[in-house]
Amino acid sequence: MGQYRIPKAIPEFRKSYALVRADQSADTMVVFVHGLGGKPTSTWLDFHRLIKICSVNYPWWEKCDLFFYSYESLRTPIGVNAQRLGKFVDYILSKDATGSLRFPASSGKSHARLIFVGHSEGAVVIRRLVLDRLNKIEKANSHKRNLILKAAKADIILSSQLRLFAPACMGTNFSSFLGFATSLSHLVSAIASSFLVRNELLPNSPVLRPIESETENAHSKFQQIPCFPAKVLFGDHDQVVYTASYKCDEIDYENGQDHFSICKPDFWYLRPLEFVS
Amino acid sequence: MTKDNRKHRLDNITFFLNMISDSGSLSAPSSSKSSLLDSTRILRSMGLVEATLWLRLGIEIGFFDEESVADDLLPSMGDGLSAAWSVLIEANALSSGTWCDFMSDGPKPTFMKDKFFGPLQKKVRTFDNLSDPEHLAYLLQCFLGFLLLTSEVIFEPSTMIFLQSIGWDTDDKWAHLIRGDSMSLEFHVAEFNIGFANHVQYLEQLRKYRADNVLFVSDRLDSINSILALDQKVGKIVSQRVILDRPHVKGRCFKLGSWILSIVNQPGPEWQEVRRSIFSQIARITESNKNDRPRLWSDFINNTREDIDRAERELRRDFLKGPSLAME
Repeated sequence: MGQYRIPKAIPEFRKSYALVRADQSADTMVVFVHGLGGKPTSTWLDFHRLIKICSVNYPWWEKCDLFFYSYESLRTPIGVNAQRLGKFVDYILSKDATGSLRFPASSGKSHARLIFVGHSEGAVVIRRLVLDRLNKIEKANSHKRNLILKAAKADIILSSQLRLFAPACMGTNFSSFLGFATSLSHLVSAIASSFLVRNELLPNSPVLRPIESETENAHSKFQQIPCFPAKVLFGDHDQVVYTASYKCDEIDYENGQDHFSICKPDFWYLRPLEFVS
Repeated sequence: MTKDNRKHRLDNITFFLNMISDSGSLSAPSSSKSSLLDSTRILRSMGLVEATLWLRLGIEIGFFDEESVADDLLPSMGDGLSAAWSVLIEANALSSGTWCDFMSDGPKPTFMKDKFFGPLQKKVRTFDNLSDPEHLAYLLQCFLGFLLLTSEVIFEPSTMIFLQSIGWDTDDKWAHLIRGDSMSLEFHVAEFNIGFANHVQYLEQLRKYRADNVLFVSDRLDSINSILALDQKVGKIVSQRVILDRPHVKGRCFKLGSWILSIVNQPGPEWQEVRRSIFSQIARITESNKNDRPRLWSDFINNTREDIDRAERELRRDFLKGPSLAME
């Protein structure tokens, strides 16, 4: 059984919270970002237990603090949510009023490594965030390649790695309202399909198209920056999103999983634990 | 108890207050005349009592610090609990007389501290294996999972609006609300449907989580008893918000399901599959008798057809009126 993690609320960001190592021995922060109509616990609860129970087989997780980001996913535009996610990461790395780090890592400093784990719309929000961060750094460094690379190396968001479960990057399949064939979330999906963000997630939308082209460009231009290519996992029963991703991504499929179960490990399906690490 | 353990228990109280409470929800139900507050008054009251029950269970398994709850938290909650209990009694909102044992009867109910701590002081405790660190860690983990799932709905506005409406609104008001033709502007119509989805999802996930908790310790007989006891206690705590199995609510639930289906209507096998799935989901969460299901299914199909006809009539009427009139 793995070590105990302490729950810590992060009320500045809705119902976001963290599960951090009691002995402050983590060096990696894993930020989980749920999808359309989702919530942090209902999406990721199975990770809490499995990484503890299966720590012998997946010791990598013992070095991680877990952060579960909560955001309004139905009506708030993806660009706005990307900006807020960036603020969330900055907040985790910041100091409180007394000058102490809010979430110190094993070094006594802040975490050195960041992994973003996104599901569905969450994946799109993450990808928008890394592009926005690159744009900011490019501008700040007058588009000079060497300076950009140096700044990117020092930036934890641009140094992050992306693990995306059923990303909605190529669009959702619910243009007809009914791209849903899962049991648990039929109601949620049917209802969610009528909200604003649904339009942003339609294939080739003015929100999705630039994310794809900018990511591909950024990757070909800055191969050293690790956050543009993502590891992607789809279930072969996914009928909510298009099961495709960008050229730079490493895509795989899992038998017997759908859009919602793909990111929920259990005793018989431990691949999500392995996939994130 | 180590100093570290005590610190964790104190930190857990802070965590609880941050995650469970929302905009002062652990205080008295507001007497404000705001219609939104009024639309959630019963559920806010229920949430407050429920949160107090979670606190007690957390103390019992060592997740919260007993002393701090007794000295710092409960004294500030007494008035709120009294007001909340009055609201629940007045609205006849409780389906069980044994849900909460720490509120006194009578016109001015009060919080009874000795009753609250009564079960914690019994010599024979429910959880008798807490000295085993591995078992305790697992039990705390399970408790935290339950708490986190509940934190996503307990004071969540759309869930509260939905539950109060489906449980206590008049038939007339309910019908207007689900069709979105109520004059009231107290909340977005879609919030209501989101509340429905949230609640259904919560019940489903709670069911799955409870099953998994037992599964994960199935090789340890000494742990199973504690996990089952935790499960039973959690079931009792959340029992009052599981209102979908109440007779008058069941019918409303199926009607709402058919209404949502009519909104997303698109003839074809995909939609028919969704219809079947939503029916099964509602039948399961309303704990409908299996023998009744053929009749319920038949009613559900008829209701859905009626709702679709109504929606199409409205669409035709808007079309005939033309855009200028429809804009008015």
